[in-house]
Amino acid sequence: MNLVELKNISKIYKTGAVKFIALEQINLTINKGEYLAILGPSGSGKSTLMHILGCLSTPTSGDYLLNGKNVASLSVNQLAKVRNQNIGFVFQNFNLLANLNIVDNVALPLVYRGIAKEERTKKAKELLTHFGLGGHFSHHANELSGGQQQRVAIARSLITEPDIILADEPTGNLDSKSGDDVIHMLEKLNRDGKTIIIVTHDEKIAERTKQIIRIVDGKIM
Amino acid sequence: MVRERRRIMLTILAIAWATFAISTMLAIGEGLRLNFAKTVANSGNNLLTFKGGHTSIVYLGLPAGRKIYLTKSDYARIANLPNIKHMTPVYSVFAKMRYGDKNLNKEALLVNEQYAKIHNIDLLPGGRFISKLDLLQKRRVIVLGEKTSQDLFPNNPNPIGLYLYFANELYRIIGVMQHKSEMMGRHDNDAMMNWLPSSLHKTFGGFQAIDSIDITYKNADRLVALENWIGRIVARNHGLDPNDENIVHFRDYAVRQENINSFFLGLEVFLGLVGLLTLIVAGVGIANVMFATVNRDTCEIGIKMALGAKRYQIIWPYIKESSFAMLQGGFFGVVLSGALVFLLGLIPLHGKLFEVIGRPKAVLSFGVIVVVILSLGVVGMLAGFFPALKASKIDPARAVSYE
Repeated sequence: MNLVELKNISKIYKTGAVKFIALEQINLTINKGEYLAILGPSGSGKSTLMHILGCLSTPTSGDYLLNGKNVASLSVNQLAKVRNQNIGFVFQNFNLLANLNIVDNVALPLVYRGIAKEERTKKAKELLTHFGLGGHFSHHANELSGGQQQRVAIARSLITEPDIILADEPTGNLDSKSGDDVIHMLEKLNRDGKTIIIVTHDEKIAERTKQIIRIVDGKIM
Repeated sequence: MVRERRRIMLTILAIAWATFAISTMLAIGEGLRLNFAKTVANSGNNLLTFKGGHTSIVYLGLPAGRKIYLTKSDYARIANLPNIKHMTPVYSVFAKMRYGDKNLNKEALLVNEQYAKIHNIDLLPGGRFISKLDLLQKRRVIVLGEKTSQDLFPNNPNPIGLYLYFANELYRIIGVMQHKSEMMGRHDNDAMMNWLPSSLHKTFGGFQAIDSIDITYKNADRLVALENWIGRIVARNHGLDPNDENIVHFRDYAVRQENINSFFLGLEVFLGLVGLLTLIVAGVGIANVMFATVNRDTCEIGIKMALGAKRYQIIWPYIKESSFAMLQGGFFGVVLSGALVFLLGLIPLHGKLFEVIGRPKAVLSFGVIVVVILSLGVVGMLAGFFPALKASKIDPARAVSYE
């Protein structure tokens, strides 16, 4: 069974009488364990595609089968549950909460799953230690370097053991060395069996993945 | 962040002020209501008085407009009716009252031993009211009203055991009424009255009709039936048309008490609404702060949604925050209000007016505090709910990249 199957997905934004087609008749299949890049220039629709793949927004038309289940028309709370259980996000801006320390940031997805504090803290600390941040548990995001913050974000994306990791320009705010470290980390996760999707406009990053999906003007080339 | 903190502090102050306003207003309203309820009740609870009226219907060849005088026979038959708890005949006498060189015109009521219970009259220590034995033995004893005692004995607050002259007969003082504030008294205020045994009424000569009969009843639901029975008894005793509604004049004090109670309850509600309005204005302030917070937190809300937060998990922290602000402000407001109520209670209220209406004190009662807490809770929840609802409707796809 395919992990992800997009069938004739379109996304149209309407502002008054003006219609903007962000995605048009997208068909895409992703299997478990794949490592692929969605590549395209700014405004091509790659972020919209990532939002749909991550269940952050729903398509205007078409079907999105995730683990065989159509998630295109789920309710807000049902989509939240799917995101929590099936998808891990890594953002360009790291998107860590400034008022929480890194342990609480990593543990946050488990809060929404109703896991007890002791258990989620233990799991978060294990992951942070695994990513070389064992000595920074009490630190807040602004006390870490960009590379460290992105490692925290990757740890957070893994804590729910999701089916897919969606990384949106994961090296966009990092220097080349830190960016390289992050890509290495994602490659290792893929080798361990995780399905990784990187959304990027950077050809070099995309070339390091196993498969590239090029998107231009809302269509897959 | 500092600006927002200052804004929240100002909002908490506004809530404290609003709570102070609503609590104090309600406390004043409650104090007035309780005071007037007590003052009115001092005239007697479940009190019904009635006197003879006049005929208004031509009956058995007799014309309308004849005056009806209540008699001992009426009294005796009415006394057998059910639903009567206490009952006394009342004869009114005006005469000279003399003690030493003081000579005053005073009114005395000739009543039985139940009058004190009917009119909630308490006596100064050492005194007593008229007893059954006084009535049986036709003793010449007198109970003085507060005012008479002050007029005749300005230097002796409790002249029990002394003798005075009333209508040129010597009476022993057996009791002096304790002060009570009173409205709607049966014969002016009881403080102005004096009381003698009703069995002495013949000694005053003249016409021997009962001026009025005062009763307290057991069951207010059966008051109309009681009045009907009294009317029928008087009609039958005097050969009158039982359908003539004017042969007995009733004064039902419970209805008057209820009207006064309703008025002050209305006043309390009005004062509470004024306070609530202030609280709502403060609530709007909180809502504005919360809306600003939601705007600031847009990206954070988007992140939480991306990580799997459900709607209620987004809404709840904002409701909690606004309710907490309400609670803080409310606490200070109630404490301030309690302090003011305490200080108001220390102000001495003197004068003729307060002797009649009593001395009202603001009362921050349990009921008032419950109303304030409920109002704070509802306004706080609403002030947080709408901004929180806005937060829960944020599009996570846009919010995660919101700057």
